[in-house]
Amino acid sequence: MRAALLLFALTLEAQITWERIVNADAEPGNWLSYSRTLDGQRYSPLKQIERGNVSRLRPVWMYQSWNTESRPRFEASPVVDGGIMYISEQPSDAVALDLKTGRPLWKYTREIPPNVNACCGRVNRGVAVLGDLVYMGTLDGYLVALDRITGRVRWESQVVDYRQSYSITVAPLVVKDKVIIGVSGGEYGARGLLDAYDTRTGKRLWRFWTVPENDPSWGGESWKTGSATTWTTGSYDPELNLVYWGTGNPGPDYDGNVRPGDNLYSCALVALDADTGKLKWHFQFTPHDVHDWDANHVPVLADIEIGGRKRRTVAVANRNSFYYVLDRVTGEFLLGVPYAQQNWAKELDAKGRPVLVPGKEASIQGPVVYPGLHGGTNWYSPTMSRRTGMFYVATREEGTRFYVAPAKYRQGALFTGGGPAGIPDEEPHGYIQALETETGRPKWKFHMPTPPWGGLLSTGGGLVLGGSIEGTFFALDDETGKPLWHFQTGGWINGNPVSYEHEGRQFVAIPSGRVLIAFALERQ
Amino acid sequence: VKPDAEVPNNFAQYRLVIPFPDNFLMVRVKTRDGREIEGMRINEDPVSIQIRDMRDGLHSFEKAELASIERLAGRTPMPSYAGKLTETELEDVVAYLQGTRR
Repeated sequence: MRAALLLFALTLEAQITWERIVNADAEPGNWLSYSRTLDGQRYSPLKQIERGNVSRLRPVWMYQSWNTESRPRFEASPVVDGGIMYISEQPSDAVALDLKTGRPLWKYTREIPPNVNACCGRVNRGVAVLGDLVYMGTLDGYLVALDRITGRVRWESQVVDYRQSYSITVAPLVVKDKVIIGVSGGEYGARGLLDAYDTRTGKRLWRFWTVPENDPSWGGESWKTGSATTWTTGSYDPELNLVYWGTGNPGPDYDGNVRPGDNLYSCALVALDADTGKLKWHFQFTPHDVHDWDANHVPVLADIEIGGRKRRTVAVANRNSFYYVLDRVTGEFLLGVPYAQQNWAKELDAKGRPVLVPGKEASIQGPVVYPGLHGGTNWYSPTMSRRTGMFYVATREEGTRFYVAPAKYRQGALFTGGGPAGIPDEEPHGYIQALETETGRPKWKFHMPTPPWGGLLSTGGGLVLGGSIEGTFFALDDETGKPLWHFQTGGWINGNPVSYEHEGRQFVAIPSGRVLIAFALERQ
Repeated sequence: VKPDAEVPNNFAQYRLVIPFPDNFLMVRVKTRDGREIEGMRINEDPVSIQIRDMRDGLHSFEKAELASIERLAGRTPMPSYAGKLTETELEDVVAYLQGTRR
């Protein structure tokens, strides 16, 4: 017993260092940052659970969150190390779980003011860990650093003022001695930004405004309420020292008349110098968006062959229904093809700019547009398998009628300039798709009767794991898409799966409803 | 119709479109051993489907058991009333149904 306690204490002593995060591939049994590796691939090399035995996957423990939201959306992606799982809960709480039992070791609860605006759910997508600190953004606009052992607040820094229509839902990303965090508020005219803070002190080190002041791509003073928020975690290339982060819709969402121009850097991917926050390049997927097609996706970094030449690329399946491959050194457009139904662009030109189909912009007639409001995919993570080289993404097939209405900015009020409506008698659905990374062509599709809201994980065991709104957590064959195993969790799956190893067993974990469930092979 | 209820001039507007309830769908499934079941979909997820047939029988299938799933969009289990009622009788039925709304 004493030895076990000592071992537990020793385990607690191990810390996540930057060297471990940047070399995460050297320890596949842990999950040290949002996507496991900084390239955003959400791939686990673990292969104890594989195609031949996944039918023996069983729940080992369940953690019931304290979330009291009437409509729970458990979107947190866990960080796992040293026998502990660190997660966040709605609305802005954090908890450390014992990996062996799922029992909480500590809990941080934050009181959120009732007048915080969060258009699309009082959610939180996870924490980051470095050294003896756990970092989390909060709905009321703070970055908090918690003691890794006790959960006590070590410091907190105000990122934004929630009374100016901001909130924070994104999981932070640690890059060297900085913790990088974005903001939400794109439906309230909050001007987007991305910040870096000193991991030890909480002092702000740089800020990148995703809507540049007085930028000519915005008419008049529309930049002041231009949104382009940064609510999904980015990626990092240590050799280039570049942070890649997606930006959201311009504000107001649907009424583009009040913001003539391309509206930089909305609906874009920005590559920033990690030390200074200076813009290295940007690529705008949807210039002058009027369909709420945020580009808030995890950018997936991979070196792939395009046109017979090995390129350092970043791949994005964008909400606008096109799959893109860009040169991640320069931002050069290399490839763009539709992966889901779309009727708004005739094609992408040689530079990747969409050639628009007339009459598909939001209007008083309410044109039917594919993809719809929620896009061909959304914020949840894709995965790229190093086993197959394929890009896997959960896709959505649904149209929307987009209506426009006059938009007048008023602090704290929705600033959308119109609204969406569904298509009667059309049953939305979706797929899990395996795309050829270098062409975007689908190799297989697995049908989802309801458009998904959960992300994917690929593994060295030949599996793609994902979840459905109906609560089905499933494993597919990564080469064929054939379903190999499933478990009905009983709650909406709105998060991303992770995998880790503990005491010689591989686990996969998924949040569902108010519960986080850890699975492993049943012991024989 | 309640005698004191305000009765519109006619109920044609209600006869034009009778919307399906959200998520209503008739389906026809064939099992791998050759059985065919048609009914209302109760639930569907990526790996299973539950159906209530025309005799209120409940069926649950893993999709792997099925040879096909046919989605009968726009189909209703209600038999057609075409030719069964006169125009006046039809107006009375629609008026009655409208009168039951709260």
